[in-house]
Amino acid sequence: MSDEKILSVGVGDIQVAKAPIIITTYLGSCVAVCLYAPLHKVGGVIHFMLPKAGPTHEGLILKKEKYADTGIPELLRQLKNVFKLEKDAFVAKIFGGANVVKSVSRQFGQENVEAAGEIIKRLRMNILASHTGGEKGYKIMFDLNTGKVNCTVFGGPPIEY
Amino acid sequence: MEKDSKISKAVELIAQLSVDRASQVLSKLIRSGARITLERAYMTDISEATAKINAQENQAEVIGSMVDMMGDAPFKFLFYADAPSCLILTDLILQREVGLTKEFNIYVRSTIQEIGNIMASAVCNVFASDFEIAMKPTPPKVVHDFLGTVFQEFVMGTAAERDEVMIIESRFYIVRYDVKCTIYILPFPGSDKTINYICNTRLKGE
Repeated sequence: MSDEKILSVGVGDIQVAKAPIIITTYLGSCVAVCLYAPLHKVGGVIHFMLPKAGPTHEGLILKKEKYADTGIPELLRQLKNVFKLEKDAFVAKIFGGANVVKSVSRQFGQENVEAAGEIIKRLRMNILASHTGGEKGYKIMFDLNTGKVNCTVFGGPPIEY
Repeated sequence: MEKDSKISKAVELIAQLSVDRASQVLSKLIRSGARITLERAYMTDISEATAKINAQENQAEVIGSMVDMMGDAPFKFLFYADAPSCLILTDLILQREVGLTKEFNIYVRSTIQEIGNIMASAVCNVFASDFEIAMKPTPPKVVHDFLGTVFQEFVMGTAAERDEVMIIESRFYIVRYDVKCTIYILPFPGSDKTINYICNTRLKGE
């Protein structure tokens, strides 16, 4: 992994790239969806924070990358446009959705994981692997050379998916 | 333009007074000098800010205390330090030999919770005494996790409503024990009218 460039994804953002690149992010209650085209070694990650976009108090919809329902289709759109590939070329992996701050009454992590699953199903894509839930944060490193995601839950060993 | 400059002056004033007070309180608590090594207030895109934190090479475990301050100028407060520094802070607060606390336990959790609570209250006192704005803290939440995860959970509430947020960031260095800690203050959207109020009253004529 040492010669590969590392791209970091922030909250409510998308990164798409072609190998040799590693896309990395840290997650709490947010969820990361990784899409990968194994034959072309291209992929992307969305790091969204809420399940559903809604108008804000000022009546505006904010960045679509913040929400599962608008962000996951946007990730697929970017991958298709940038690399001229069809939807069927991609497989999905899902990570995150932990309940890190325990006093929060609404379980955003769980809601985010469910939303990601539903939207990927609606898009008729395959979920190849996932590691979600729990009470600790996640670090993921998505290697576009292999399509493997190295996932570390805080305090535990890294596991490859 | 004149309004923008007044707002940034008001935020600067709040940041300076708050950080000064927090540093005095921290020094008193640990009975050792805490030097401010960074103090800045800035507007940032939430994705960029979190990507920068995620890209930091030093992603060792941190322990943080988050407090929500409710009232006329609502804000969120985060105090954190890396795990080894938190062990030292625990020994200092418990007034025992530094090096005695060797792992994260209930004492470390309580210490960081208490430091967060006391420092956040110090910031509230600045609002009350200097600007006559009443504030009430909620119980602190302690998070022991990756820095990226802690920061993300901290900005969640505000980021859900806005793409750009204002952050007041400050670092403290406890020279004697080589301990570095950081505080972030994140005004909630409802703070705008208070900042305008400060502009129109305290900064009148500037």
